[in-house]
Amino acid sequence: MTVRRGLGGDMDKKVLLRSGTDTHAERPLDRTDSSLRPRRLETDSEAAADDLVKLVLALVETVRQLVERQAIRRVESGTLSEDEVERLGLTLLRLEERMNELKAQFGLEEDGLSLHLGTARELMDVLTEEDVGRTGQ
Amino acid sequence: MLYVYGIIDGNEIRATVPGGHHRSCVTVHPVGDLAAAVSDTARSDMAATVENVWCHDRVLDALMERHAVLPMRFGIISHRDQLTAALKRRRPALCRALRRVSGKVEIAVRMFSKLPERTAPIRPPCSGEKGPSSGTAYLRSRMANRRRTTQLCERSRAAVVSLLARLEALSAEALWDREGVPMLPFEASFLVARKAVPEFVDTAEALALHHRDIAVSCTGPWAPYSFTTDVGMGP
Repeated sequence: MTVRRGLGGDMDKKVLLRSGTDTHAERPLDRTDSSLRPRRLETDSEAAADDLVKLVLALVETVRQLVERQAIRRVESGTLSEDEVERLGLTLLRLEERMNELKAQFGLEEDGLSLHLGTARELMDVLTEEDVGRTGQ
Repeated sequence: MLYVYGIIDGNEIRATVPGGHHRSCVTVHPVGDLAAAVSDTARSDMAATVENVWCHDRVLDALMERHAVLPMRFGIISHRDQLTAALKRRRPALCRALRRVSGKVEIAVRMFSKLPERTAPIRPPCSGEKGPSSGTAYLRSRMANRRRTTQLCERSRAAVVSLLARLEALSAEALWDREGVPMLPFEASFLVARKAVPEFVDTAEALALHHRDIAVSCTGPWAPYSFTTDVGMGP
């Protein structure tokens, strides 16, 4: 763990404490930091195609994780027979393997498929801000 | 037209203030015993460039050395008459707000998880492996992963709650989203007596060293933006 104070520059003068090695904490921090918001789609054609693939796979991955959570809840509740648990597990295993193949095919990392939606409230804040931005343009 | 940096107690500037936007001179627009810190501008809007935003902040920082300051959001430009009318109309609320922040500064605290977003998975069997229990083993491994992740998250949340409580005790006021369970990354604003800032930061540092799962950053001192939103002139 590193703790540093009083570095140079306008923002760094405002840094009183930075602890840990987390990438967020190591970046200059400011009140307009938008790094936690979902990244926007690029609009040039090649980047847009790449982003579209990424978005589709991110949605599929999100749904896969939701299905997995639901499956785990059902297993933990003890309402499934051994055969059902086995079939469900195999289905999810194959789905994960297929997703890994697709990620490898499109050169995507695990982090690249995180939608970073945050809480429902944060998502609403972002959507509201974007609506306000559009209205103001 | 006047570019407005903030509202100060007193009707003259007692601090040494750097130049304002585009090397303008920062002066006061007094109304009774309080004033707006302003600079003349011919513009109707101010570009939100990094330099301009920091210029706004530097003026406020300098004012805070000798005044209670209610910071205005960046980019507020007003006619003299409108500003005078607004100051007169909101005088009681402005005076209350100035008393509230007098001698205090805002410290922003951010907490981040130092744990990886996804814990390393317990290796599930491959679907090609023969045997009746590969699906069951996979699900069991996912359940174990989820339990481990949940435990780590709960430990981090407990650390955040403990850290917030300690820092709140050292501050005059504290603001954060108190709805629900704190989720990392987490942000909070503290209104801290200027004299107490070193102790506040030392405490945050000690807590950060103690809670190894979370990283902590403190920035400031800021003008008390988060604690002046109810006077009708702030952001």
